[in-house]
Amino acid sequence: MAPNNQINSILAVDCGSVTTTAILIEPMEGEYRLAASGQAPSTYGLPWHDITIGVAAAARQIEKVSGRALLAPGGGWPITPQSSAKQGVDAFIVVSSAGEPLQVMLAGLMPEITLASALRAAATTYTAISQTISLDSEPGPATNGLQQTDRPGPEARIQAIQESAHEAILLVGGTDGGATRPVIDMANILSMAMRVLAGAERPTILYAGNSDIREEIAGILGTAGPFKAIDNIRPTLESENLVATQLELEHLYIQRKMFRVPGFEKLSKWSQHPVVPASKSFEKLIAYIGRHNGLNVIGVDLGSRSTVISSHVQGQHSSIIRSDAGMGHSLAALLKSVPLQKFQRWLPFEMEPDALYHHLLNKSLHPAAIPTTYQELVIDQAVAREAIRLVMEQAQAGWSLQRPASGGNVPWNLIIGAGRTLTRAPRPGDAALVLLDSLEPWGVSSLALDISGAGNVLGSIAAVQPVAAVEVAIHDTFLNLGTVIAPLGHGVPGKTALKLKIDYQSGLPETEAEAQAEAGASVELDVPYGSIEMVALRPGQRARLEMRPTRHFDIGLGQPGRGAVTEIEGGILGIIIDARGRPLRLPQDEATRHERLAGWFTALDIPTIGDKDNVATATANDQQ
Amino acid sequence: MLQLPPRTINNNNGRLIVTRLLPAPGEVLVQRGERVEALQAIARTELASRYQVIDIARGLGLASVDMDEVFLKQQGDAVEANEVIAVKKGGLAMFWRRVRSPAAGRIAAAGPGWVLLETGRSTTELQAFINGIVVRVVPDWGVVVEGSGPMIMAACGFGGEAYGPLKRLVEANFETVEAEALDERVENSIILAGRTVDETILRAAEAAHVRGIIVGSIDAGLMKLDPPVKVRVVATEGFGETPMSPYTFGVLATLTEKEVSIRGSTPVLFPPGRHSFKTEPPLILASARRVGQNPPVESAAGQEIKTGSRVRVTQGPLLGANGTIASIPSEPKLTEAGLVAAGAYVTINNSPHFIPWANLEHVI
Repeated sequence: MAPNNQINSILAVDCGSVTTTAILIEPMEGEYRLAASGQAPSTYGLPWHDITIGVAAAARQIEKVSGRALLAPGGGWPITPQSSAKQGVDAFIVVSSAGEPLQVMLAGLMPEITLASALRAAATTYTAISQTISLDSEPGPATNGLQQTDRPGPEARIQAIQESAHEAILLVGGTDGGATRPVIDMANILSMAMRVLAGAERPTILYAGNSDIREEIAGILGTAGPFKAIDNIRPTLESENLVATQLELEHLYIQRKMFRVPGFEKLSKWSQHPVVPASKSFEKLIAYIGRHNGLNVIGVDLGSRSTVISSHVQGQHSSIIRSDAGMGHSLAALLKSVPLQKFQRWLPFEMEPDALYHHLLNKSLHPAAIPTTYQELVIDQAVAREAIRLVMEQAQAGWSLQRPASGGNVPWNLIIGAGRTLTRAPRPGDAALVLLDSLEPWGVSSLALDISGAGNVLGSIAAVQPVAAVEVAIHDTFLNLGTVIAPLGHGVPGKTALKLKIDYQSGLPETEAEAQAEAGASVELDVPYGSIEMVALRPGQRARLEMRPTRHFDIGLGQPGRGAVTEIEGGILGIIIDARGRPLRLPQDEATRHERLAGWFTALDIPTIGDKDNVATATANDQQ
Repeated sequence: MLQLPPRTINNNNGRLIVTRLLPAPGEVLVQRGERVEALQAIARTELASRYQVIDIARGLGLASVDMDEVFLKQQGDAVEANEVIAVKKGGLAMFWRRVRSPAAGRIAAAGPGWVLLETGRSTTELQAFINGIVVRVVPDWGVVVEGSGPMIMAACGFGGEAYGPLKRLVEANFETVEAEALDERVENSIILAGRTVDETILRAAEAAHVRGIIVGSIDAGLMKLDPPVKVRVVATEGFGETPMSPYTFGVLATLTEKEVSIRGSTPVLFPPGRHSFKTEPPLILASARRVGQNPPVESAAGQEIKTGSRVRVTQGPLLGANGTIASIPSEPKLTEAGLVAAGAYVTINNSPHFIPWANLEHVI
């Protein structure tokens, strides 16, 4: 949509699985600024069954602080356009990730090739892979890791398909000019299964395989239910083409899931602009920041139902969304993909595996619940680490295909964290450490948090008023945590990994006096391998940084031992020097690991467990 | 207006509405307005339980076939084992190529060159689950039954649905049942078993023909027992060893000797699939067999939370505890975890505890 000069004020809403966030953007002193924001529980579930109630509640919070009416009295819908008395807004924008993901079955030939591409395409919108079948494997319980056991047999596959509730089936297989017979066999199996499906609504079949046999496949599947043939997802072994599949799956998600969220149709009528999936808008924001600043940017949006990783690497942007890697609604699914020990390894205290498992299952029963004790907070953050790592693993496989030489190991210039677990963490160090432990960035990166909650809507706002999106992104959206310096490699614990010289320069006007006093000061550091530490560099303040890694460590130049000089900007955590090594290694011994984790927490000003927290808390139910 | 997710825990004569749908289209056995009992079958369907794929083209020794020309049956036709279902004519009849059905069954589907033979069927019968009146018929799929009586929304469970008289085997919410208590007196009953159960108790209950067990919490490992137990289990608070809340225990204790329906399920552990108890919420209902003189009490769902409202805690050391709202601070508060959250002071066991709204349910 072309930029609209008539749009000055914007009310934008992000309907999440747990929380609905509304922001008001309007011109202030010649620039678009975030004037106010409001949050309310998302209300598509019980007892409300109407998503617009939460939207109105979030908007009313803005009304309260801004003193302007945004919603029509009585009806509750946004007043548009803005009146001369400054009531209402010029545009109402909605993005959403509320509701269930699209249930997708993947059918293909080779798990590591075409099915892997299908998985990557499915992971670009809110989907849950409910089943995966290939010609040489059984229709096992679907996992996004494509784990299967051997038990061929079309009958078993038909039975399994019949018992599931797929909303889409993605059939892939065969490069163009390549295999045909196995793809046709698979199409026949799907056709048989579709014909005996007893459900009221048949899944849509998308064919994204060998394009030479498109007509033949259409002949087999075209009469079995809704069918569409699209571009081959893997035209050659060396290349993949995800675009057509992505678009179709996104279309199906919007049609079959988003618009079936209670109250959603009403909400979409309130807006003159199309409602888009939140992940799509987030991806646009990350792509814009990357493109505009010439940076490699990664954004992590950690939600209750899904985790999104959007990236912009050397001009290309992509997203991976895992609906089995959320902090609440999909926690039970995450427990099926990630062994319990992986969560446990991030806890700096003892906890019986059963107790941890039960705690996590209980959390999945109440996805909106928040931690109330220190232990629960640390467990939540352990879940966050593993959810992000799971998505990151899949994202890296995609980057590796795009840039084989990198092995998917991208040096990030900017890392952005979004989602309540990160942005509402008690201390900025909590969020920083979760991001460092899960993404394992190397080289020199800036860390920021989407503290305003606007990150998910700015991409959509850019479609109608790009200037507003840009100016709000620059001024109001992010909390700059600081700069991370993380050498790649391993060495001897305690021995120098990196030598640093920091020359402080000027600061922001409000810290001018202090900054001037510091300007010209210089700090030299020998950073031992295995350590993580913070060095002060206030927000807005700049410094010249000279880095000299020892011969086993690479600070992002692709050559161990090679030093560099760069200019960096401070943040509320200053400079984080993460010399724990990459890839990160956690001690196997439990006591040593607890000690190590506690040390890392302390280094980032995160309190470690105190004596009072160790006291077993009797539950109120024990008392009569 | 401040509202919280509702959790029904009461022994009122409230309105109970259950939707009963088959996993696949079938036959609805009752009519609108009909009075039904909990164990009465209200709908039935037959599901294919086994298939066999017959490759007609290969059977005829051809690369491809025109099914209209060779296939002798139609979808839905019954076939006998060894019955000829396809034939390729040409020349003398004795040289015609034929494909025979490898088993008795029904032609489920036929496509270009193949036939899907259904060789086994199983009947699924759906019971009413509660005593009540059929208020709506969903043609081919099932019914909506309305009754009245107490309802307790549980947290999790396994095994499915059961119905029977409730027997209380413990004196207090935190006690557990001894295996010796599971004798012939509890046969065909649902037992109120206090804090939790272990495998020994479950096996003993199975041997005593107990239909169901209600406890405060369950060990998730019990859901993976091999062989699985046939006893249905419902937990009111969650997973682990949390005792049943005294309030819920008190409500359940008043239902002793009454007929109750229970559903042991944990929907978050199962992906969406066919309609099944696995994807329906865990419940305990005590539907009256006869509608009494007093009309059913209307649900308090949707009511605003205020001082005095009863709430249930869903996270933290107080998980499962019930209490009443003592006061609602105007500003968010700092929790022990270091998070700042809006919430309320809840009186639990005579002590006020600040609990974030995100961790509360409205008990109605």
